[in-house]
Amino acid sequence: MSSTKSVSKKIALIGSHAVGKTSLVSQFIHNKFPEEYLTTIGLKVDKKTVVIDNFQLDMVIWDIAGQDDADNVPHYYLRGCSGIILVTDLSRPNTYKKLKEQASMLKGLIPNVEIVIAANKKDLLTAEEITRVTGEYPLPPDAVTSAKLGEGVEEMFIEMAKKLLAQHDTQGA
Amino acid sequence: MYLQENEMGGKLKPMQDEQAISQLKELLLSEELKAQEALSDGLADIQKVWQDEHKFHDKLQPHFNDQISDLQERFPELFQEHIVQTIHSQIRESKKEIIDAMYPIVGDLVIRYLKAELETLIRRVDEQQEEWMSWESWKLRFQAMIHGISYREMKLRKSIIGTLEEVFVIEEESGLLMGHHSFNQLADADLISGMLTGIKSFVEHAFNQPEQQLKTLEYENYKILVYDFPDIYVACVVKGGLDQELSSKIQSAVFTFFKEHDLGASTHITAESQLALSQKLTSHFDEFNKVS
Repeated sequence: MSSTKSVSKKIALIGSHAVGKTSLVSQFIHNKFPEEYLTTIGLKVDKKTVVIDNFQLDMVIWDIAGQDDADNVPHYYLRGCSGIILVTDLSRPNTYKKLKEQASMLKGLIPNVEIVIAANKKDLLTAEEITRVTGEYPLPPDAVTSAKLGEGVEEMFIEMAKKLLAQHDTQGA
Repeated sequence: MYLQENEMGGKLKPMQDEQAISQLKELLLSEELKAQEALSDGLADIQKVWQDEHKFHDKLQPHFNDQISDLQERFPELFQEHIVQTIHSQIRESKKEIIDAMYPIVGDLVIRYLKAELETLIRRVDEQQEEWMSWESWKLRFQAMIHGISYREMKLRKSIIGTLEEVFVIEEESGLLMGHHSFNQLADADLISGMLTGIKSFVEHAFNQPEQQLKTLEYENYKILVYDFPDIYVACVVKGGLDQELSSKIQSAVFTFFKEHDLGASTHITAESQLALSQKLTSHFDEFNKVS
């Protein structure tokens, strides 16, 4: 029987106000959608361990309060991040129209950071609308999710976990 | 036609008086007649509403509702004084009845309270008897004698002095936990490390003074002492009173640990590395709270 290796990684969720960052974390960690909207004040830290291919990843998730512009996210919260999930709202173009600039800014700030783009609130749109709207995204979303229905949420975090483990392997740990 | 004939100087044709008066009335009083008709119609409508109970109710109900809600809103303002006076006078006049009503409840509470206090007293007597015979007690007496103070004062000093509850070694940038020693396993160490780092970063940057560092956080009976090192920081959670002696003792223990172990930021914090550092912390701090 092979022994499980493990590593801890810091992941941050950023995005505009009310795009569903906290709901995504809640759905991923507690399998529930908070019906009442409570704005995040500053920061909330959570943790979830996932095992992929006999490798245990402790994801320490920093849910950072929403900012209308990613430039306004306090950079000191992003220090030491291995992965960043850029959360957008499919029903609000303002939340995704500057994705390219935001991703570029984040890469400049943390050169080796893995970025996953989440297009959340798919439950508000029809399948045709989702295809049309995601086509308008400046960068293609890695995951189309509904925190409310729990659709695509686990897959999105697993996608991030896989990217982090691949990065971990290439860094020769 | 009547006037035309008059102007032409012809002899007036005979007309019926009533018809003439009626025409005259129509000419002179047409406006008043219309007004009278309208008034009459209005009165008939009111009469209909008055006679129809439902319609009358519908018309008046909104006004009653307004009055009721106004009264509800202003009830305390209008009646508070009167109600308070009434209650006061009722209590004054019905002392006996109130005592009769309250006695079974209060009496029961008093009995239960006395019973609980008696049990506590018995327990304390037992504990004191045990304590009197214990090794710790004789040690405290001996220490009190050496320090030239009473046993009671020595015991008080020991009871109010704080204890070290947790030691965290945290990577400064990411806030990831590198190692941890807990005396009482208070909470999830990874979450505390993350939140503590978030708070620390926020405080240090909030006033645009990143070179200044957070040293202490206080929460009711807990204090968190923060010691910064290159790339990492150590957070020690103290429960209870923190005097200069304990503060120096903790600082000294932390700095000794840091000197003895080559600590620095790690690109990969694994379960193995966490466990190894935690074991070192345990062997270094495990005896910390023991009375010397």
